[in-house]
Amino acid sequence: MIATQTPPRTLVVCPHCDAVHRMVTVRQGARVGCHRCGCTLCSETRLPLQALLASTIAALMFFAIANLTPLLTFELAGERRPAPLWAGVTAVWTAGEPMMAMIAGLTTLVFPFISLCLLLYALLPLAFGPPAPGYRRVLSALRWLRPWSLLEVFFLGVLVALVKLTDVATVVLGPGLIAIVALSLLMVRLGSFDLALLWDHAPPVAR
Amino acid sequence: MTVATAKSLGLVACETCGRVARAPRDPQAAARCPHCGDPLHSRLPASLARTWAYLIAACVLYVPANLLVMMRSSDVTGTRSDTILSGVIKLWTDGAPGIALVVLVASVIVPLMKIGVMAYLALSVQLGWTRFRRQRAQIFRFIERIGHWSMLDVFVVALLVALVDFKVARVEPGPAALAFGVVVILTMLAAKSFDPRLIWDVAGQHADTRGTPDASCPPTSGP
Repeated sequence: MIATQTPPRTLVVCPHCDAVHRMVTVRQGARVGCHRCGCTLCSETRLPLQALLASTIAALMFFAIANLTPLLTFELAGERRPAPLWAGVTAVWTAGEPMMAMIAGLTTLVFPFISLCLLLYALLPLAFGPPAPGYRRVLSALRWLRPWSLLEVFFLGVLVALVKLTDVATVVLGPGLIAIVALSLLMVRLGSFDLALLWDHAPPVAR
Repeated sequence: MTVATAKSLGLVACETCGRVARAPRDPQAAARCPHCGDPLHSRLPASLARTWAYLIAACVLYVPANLLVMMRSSDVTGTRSDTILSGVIKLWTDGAPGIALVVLVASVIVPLMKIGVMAYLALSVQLGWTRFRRQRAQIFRFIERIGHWSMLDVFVVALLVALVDFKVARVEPGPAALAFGVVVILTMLAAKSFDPRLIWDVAGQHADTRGTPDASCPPTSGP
């Protein structure tokens, strides 16, 4: 069964406590909180879609750099072990822990990459005209993928690993480290903006 | 104080696109959002049962995650096996107390706190407590936001395994790393399946039985 009709967007319902609010116009960047539970209902400075698109493309480039160049290189007794973003996953896999490798691989490689590709797919056509086919399904998938992209945690892990190794032997910082810093920041931004922004561009559901 | 909720007004807020839709007349019917087409839920289905299930599973796995070996490191001087806690202590004694604190917070304090807080929240809803609702809502949002940082140690082990792979020195992952990773995922799933709207529903039920919401309250205009 399908609910009978779409009421105009005059109401905002708090996602955390279900309290109903009337839609009001506020100045840019103002934070609007729920009157009952205090959660943020809206704090978005109207992000232009172009800014999101640019961030997505930049993030994809940094993702490539972080995977192609070492984040850290460990040197011991004349031998070198460079580690790009994917290195931990394959190393854990070959060390006999495929399940752990899958957890790390999904949260630092697969989910972030798919999220970025989906964002690009959703945002790129919007810059030129109507949304791409399957737009609604893409947005729906993005919501599910969001919490499982843990690149910013991985970045903190790089720093901890760095501290653990510096007094053992030489650790050389690679260009991938700068890429992962930028990538983490962009992923936090792209993972936290209000997806309702993109839903405003969704075509109506076919009945 | 009675507050107009979407439920009391016969509306449903779509979790996917944030739009408000009319609830179907038959509460058992599977409604779909007219705007985005995703299933509509006034409240997440079987929220408490799922939260408890994930929490209990997380508790069970938390034991091996802390007792088993997280990481085995060997060099010319010998082999050393570390659990999560002994790894933190080693960092501390090695002269990196700051990083030791970061790892302690992410790997020990956050998961414990998360399991404890989620159990408290689930229990409070189950028993219909009406006190500290706003605070409970805030705690939930906080715990939901920080939970994923616990994955830190799993990534550190993975990186060390990749970097320290020589004939004279190597690092290998232990069974606790997988157990710990699964604990983090389970606690994240527990938070995902917990519906914070349930915290407020005890008050909402009052409003339902007494009829229409109080007109003197903030925005109550229907569609």
